[in-house]
Amino acid sequence: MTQKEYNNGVSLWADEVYRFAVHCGGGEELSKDAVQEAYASLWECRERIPVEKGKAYLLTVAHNHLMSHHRREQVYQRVLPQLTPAVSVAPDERFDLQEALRKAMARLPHVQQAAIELKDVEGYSCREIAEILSLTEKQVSVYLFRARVSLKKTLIALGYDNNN
Amino acid sequence: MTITTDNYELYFYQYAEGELDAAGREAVEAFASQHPELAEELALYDPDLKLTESHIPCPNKESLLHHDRQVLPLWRWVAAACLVGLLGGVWLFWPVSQTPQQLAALHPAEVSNPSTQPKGEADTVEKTDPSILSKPRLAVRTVRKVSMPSVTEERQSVADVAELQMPVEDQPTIQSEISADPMLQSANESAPQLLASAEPVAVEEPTKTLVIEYTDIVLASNVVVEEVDRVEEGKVSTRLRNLRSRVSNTIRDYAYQAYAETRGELLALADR
Repeated sequence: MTQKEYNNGVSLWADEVYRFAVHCGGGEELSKDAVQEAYASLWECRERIPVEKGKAYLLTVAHNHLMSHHRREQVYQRVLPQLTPAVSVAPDERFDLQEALRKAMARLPHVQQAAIELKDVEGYSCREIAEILSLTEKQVSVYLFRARVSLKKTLIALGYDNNN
Repeated sequence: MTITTDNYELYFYQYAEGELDAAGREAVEAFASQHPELAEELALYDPDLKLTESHIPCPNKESLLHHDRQVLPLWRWVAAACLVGLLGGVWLFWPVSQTPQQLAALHPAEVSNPSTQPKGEADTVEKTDPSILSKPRLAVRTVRKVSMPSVTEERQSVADVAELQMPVEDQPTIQSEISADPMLQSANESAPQLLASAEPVAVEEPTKTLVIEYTDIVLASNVVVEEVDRVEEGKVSTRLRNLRSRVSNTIRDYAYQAYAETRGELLALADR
């Protein structure tokens, strides 16, 4: 990857990597850090990373950054479900499926969030997701299954049904 | 394919995503019928329940870009400093000369025939010669003119000039530097031939002159330029730094010499 290709990669992928980090529970500051680290790592390794692998590499580094942060915050993570306010939507409020999904996503384990984000938003296959998240393909399938079942349970608890 | 309570999620996922063949689908359905509590999960799985893309712009994206730094290499600053110093030196010693017509207008009675000028004095009484300027390695030879009141003092003043010219042997610093540098050495050796090829211009008016030669300055600057051409971009060799200081020192020496000699002569004239 040349310097020009790297700079093109900033224009093309920075928003997507940042969005991925935000949706995986990064928050604004942590997501910015993740993007910075991802691009810094890509710049360091640009000579051995082909352009077509650039985005996947960025997502991998960003995800690893988020995971290491979450591991450091393990104590906080243990009490997170208690601190996270219950997802609720007022009965008379128009049900916004995507907003509810995002709120429900926040309650998923980070690896499931990342798998769903990469599958639904980034459009990666299970094999590619496995490569990015350093998992096996079977593990990705299981995480996706668990994530979707959890999301559906949360949405039903919120009053969502398929007819909405 | 054996579905168990440990691996059923994988097969449920493949079943819901339509990735199983007919035999696989039958196996999953059979397992689900045997485990109704797990079959509820399969029923909850909705492959159409997907997140959609949302636009969240990355802040400070420009800070991630990498550009070539536009830094002017140091050797260019050094070359520029040498050039400025050289131009300053030339400006300092550039003669405020008068044309022969102007001289004739000022001193009509003292203008003599150039052919009567003693041959041996022609080399020491010169002014800027355009033919000399066209020679790349030849110094600009200039004259500081101090008008003399009478013809009788002319010959004495010419003799004074011969004494005032500082021979190269009396300039140990410059000579040692030239002899220490092969390039300066070769240039110095070729300088007499170049100087000899220049046609001296006789001055019709009896003047007392102080001859300032810039040969060493110009030769040193040529060496600097050649050295700069060889220096890799962004690097400055120790030799280039030494050459730069050598040029500066030479200009300073000549400036001091010219000042001292001119002052001495003016004082001598004032005494007379």
